[in-house]
Amino acid sequence: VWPAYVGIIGLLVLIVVVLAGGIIWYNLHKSTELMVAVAERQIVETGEKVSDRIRLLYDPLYAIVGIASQMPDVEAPSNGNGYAGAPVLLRVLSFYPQILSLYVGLDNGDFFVMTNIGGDRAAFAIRIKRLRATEPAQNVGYFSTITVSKLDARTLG
Amino acid sequence: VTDFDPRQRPWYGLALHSNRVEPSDLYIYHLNNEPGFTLSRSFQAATSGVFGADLTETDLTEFLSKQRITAGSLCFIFTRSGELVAYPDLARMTAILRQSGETMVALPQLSQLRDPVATGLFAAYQESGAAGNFVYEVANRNYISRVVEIPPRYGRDQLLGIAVPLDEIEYPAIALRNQTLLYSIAFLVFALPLYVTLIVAWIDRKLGRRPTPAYAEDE
Repeated sequence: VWPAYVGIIGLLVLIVVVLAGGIIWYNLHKSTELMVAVAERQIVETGEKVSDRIRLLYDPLYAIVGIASQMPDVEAPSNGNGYAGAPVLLRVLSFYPQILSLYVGLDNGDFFVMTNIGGDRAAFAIRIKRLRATEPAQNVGYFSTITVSKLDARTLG
Repeated sequence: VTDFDPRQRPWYGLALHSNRVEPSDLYIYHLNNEPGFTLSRSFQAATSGVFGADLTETDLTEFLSKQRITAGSLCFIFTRSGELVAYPDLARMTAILRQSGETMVALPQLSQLRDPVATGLFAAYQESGAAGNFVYEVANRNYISRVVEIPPRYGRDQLLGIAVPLDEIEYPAIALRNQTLLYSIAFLVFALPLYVTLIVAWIDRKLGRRPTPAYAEDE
């Protein structure tokens, strides 16, 4: 009788193991499919996020460069010591911290640049260089975007 | 700075003969020696010239490094011809760019980065010949990936690549499977004596046999 007991019990245990194993395997299979589908969706979303970010980075720059290059006084650095468009550009730099610098290069080699040096949108340097002049490039100074007033360079570190 | 001539810079030449805003390729800024892009546009005035704006790569790099679907996932920008444009690790990227020792550089090749995941994705893209979803293998690890085209306005021939290791995606499901398996085996082991007793009793009943009580055997 005992071999019959063992056989029947073994068979029933085997059925339980196979059923439980099958359920676990099926569950794993479906869970994996779900995970992969979620990951694929996340990949698509990440792609869209990065594309949006690139758009957000570039679009204001396109607009700024497009408009600023048509400003009436855009070539002003060649005519005087100051730059008429500086306050506008200073504001632009403060609004868009992703912009490192805005500049004008002229056909005669003159160069005007306004650079974000604060990193925290606090200060910007303006530099004017005249290619024909014998003296080195001129640092006009450091300016606060909040007050548009000149800052002491020593406080900028 | 005294030897700096704007007319020699890449952004100046690009915009000079164009009437629209021109994006530059990646190059090293003269100002801070960091990589970045420039948008420039020419203007006509008493003294003509070019207006430019610099966009550092730091911002884009930081953003890419935050796009982690899993710990081992990678998000980067490359060109159709296999040049690297943006990579989440700025230090690695800058190191390659500075190898030439120039401030005006060509984009580095993906192979220079020595990142098999990025190179593998580019190989899968090349094999397919079009943007889309890919599955590829690197060092016995499968990756699911996607290549998205970036509009030409934001960079010439540029593509965004995202790769995620399949094992990291499957890890929560496998962990759950292992846990379920462990609990099932433990339950089976503890329930087995009861299970056997019940089955033996059931067989006995079916066979018409009744177990002899211990006190009856003593008598």
